[in-house]
Amino acid sequence: MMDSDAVRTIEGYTHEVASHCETGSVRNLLRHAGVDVSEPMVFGVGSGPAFYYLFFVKGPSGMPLVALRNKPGHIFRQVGRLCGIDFFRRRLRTTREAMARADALIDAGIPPAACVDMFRMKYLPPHLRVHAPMHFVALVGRDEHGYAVSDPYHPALARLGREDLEAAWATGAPMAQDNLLVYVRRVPPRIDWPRAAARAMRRTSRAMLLPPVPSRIVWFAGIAGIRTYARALRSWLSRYRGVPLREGMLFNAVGFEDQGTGGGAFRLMYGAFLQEVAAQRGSEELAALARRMVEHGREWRRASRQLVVLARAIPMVEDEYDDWLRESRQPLEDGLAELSGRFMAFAEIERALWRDLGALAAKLG
Amino acid sequence: MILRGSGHKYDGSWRMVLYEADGAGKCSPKLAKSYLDEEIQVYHEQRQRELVRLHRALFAGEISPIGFFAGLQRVDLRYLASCVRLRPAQVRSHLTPAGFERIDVRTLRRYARVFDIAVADFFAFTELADGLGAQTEHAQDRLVEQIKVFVGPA
Repeated sequence: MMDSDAVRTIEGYTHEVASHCETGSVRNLLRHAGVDVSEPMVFGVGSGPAFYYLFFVKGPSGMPLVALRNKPGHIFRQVGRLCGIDFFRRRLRTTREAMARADALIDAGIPPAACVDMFRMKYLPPHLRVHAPMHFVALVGRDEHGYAVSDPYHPALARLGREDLEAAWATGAPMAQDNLLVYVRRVPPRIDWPRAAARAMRRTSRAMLLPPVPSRIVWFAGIAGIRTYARALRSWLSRYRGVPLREGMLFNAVGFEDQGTGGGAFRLMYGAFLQEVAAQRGSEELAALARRMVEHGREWRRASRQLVVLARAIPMVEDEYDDWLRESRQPLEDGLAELSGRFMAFAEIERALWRDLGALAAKLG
Repeated sequence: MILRGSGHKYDGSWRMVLYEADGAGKCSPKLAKSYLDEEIQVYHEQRQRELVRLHRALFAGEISPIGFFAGLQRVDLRYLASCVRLRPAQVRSHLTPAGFERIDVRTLRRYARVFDIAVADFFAFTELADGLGAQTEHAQDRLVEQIKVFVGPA
C-alpha cells in the first residue's frame, strides 16, 4: 500500500484494478478525462483478442512463448483511432526526457501512462516480478524521490522510486516499448461506441482469420497459430524434461487463464464486450454470438486447468523425473494428445466464431 | 547478494480480476483468488531450490556470477544480450568464470542494472541467520554497496 501522505497525487484520479494492464490503464485514463467506459469495451474496441505462437522467443522454462495480446500500445492506438480520441503516444528519445515530460504532465493534472518492466514494480508480489517489459501503469503523482503509480494489477495506488521507474522504462529488451509515454490530449464531445465496436469487430475478425496465403506465411498468428500450438503440444514430452517441462506447462496455463488475461485467454472478457454492445444495439444475433464466445472462453479455461493437472503430476525435483517418467509416460502423452485435440477444435470453433462475427459486424455497420 | 535461510512464504492474499459468467450467462469481472493459488507457494519453493543449486554451481566454479543471476531471475541469453547491448555470443562467454574475468566495470554496471543489484553483489554473498534483517544502499551508480545488518525482520 502506498504512503499517500508522502506523494502528491492528481486530484480526482480514481484508481481501479483490471484484468489487463493496457485496457485497465486506457480505461483509468479515459475516466479521468471524463469518458465513462468499461474495461471490456476498451478491450473490444482496441481489438484485444490475438494469438501468437512465438516460436522464436523462449519463455522462462525454455518453451516458446504464447502471446494472447498484440504489441503493447495497440489498444491505445485502436481506441484512439476508432473513437476519435487524441492520445499522445510516442517513444521518447531518452528516459530522462520521458520522465521530465511525465513530471510536467503530473504537475498539470494529466496522468500519463508508461510501458515498463514488471520486474521493477516492487510493490507487486514476488511471483509477478518477472522480466516482462510490456506492462502498462499510469503515473498519478510524484515527489522528489518517486512516483505514485496506478497499476491495474495492484489493489491500491503504489509507490515507485525514481531509479526504479528509470530502469523499468527503458530496458533495451526485445519487444520492449522503451520510453513509451501515452496520455489523453483531447476527447471528442460524443463518442459513438456501438459504431466503433462494430468497426473493431470487423478488424479483429480479419486479424484472427487471415486469408489463406498470408496465414501460410504467418503460420504462428491467429487461427493458424492456434493450430501450430496444438501440433507443438504433442512434441513437448520429447523436447523438454523435468522441472522446465513442469514449469513451462504451468506458465502456459497461467498465460491462458491467469496473468492478465481475465480468464479464458481473454475470450471471456471479449464475451462481456459483445454482451455490452448487444445490449446497446438491442441485437439478438450479437447476444447469441456473445453466448458462444463466453462458452468458448469457458472451454479455454477448462483446457488450461487440464494443463495444470498434467503439469502438477510432474515431480518438482529434477532427480525424481526419470523414475517418474518410466511409470507415467503414457498418461502424460495421452493427456497432451487430448489437449492438442482440444486446441485443434478451438481453432475450428474460433474460425466459425470470428467469421460469423465479422459478417454480423459488417451488417451492423 | 544477501541470502536468507528460507525462501519467500506466500501468504495467500493475492487477488486478481477474473471474468466469470453468472447463472444467466452474463459475464462480469470479479476480484478472485487465482485458481493457481496453490502453485504460488510451490513456485517459491522451486525458486529456493534453484537458488541453492545455482549457488552450489557458482562456488564449484561451473558458472559465473552473471550465470548465477541470469538463472535466478530466469533471463534468457537473447533477452540479456539485448538489455546489455552485447552480442549473444559475448554474453554466453560471460556466463562462464573464465569469460567473467574479462568483463570491464562498465559492462558489469549494465548487467547490475538489468538484475537490479550492485556491482558488488557479483563478488560477495552475505548469508543472514534467522532473526536478522538487512538493508542495502547503492552509491556511485551501483558500483559500491553498503549493507546494514540488524536484529529483526528483513
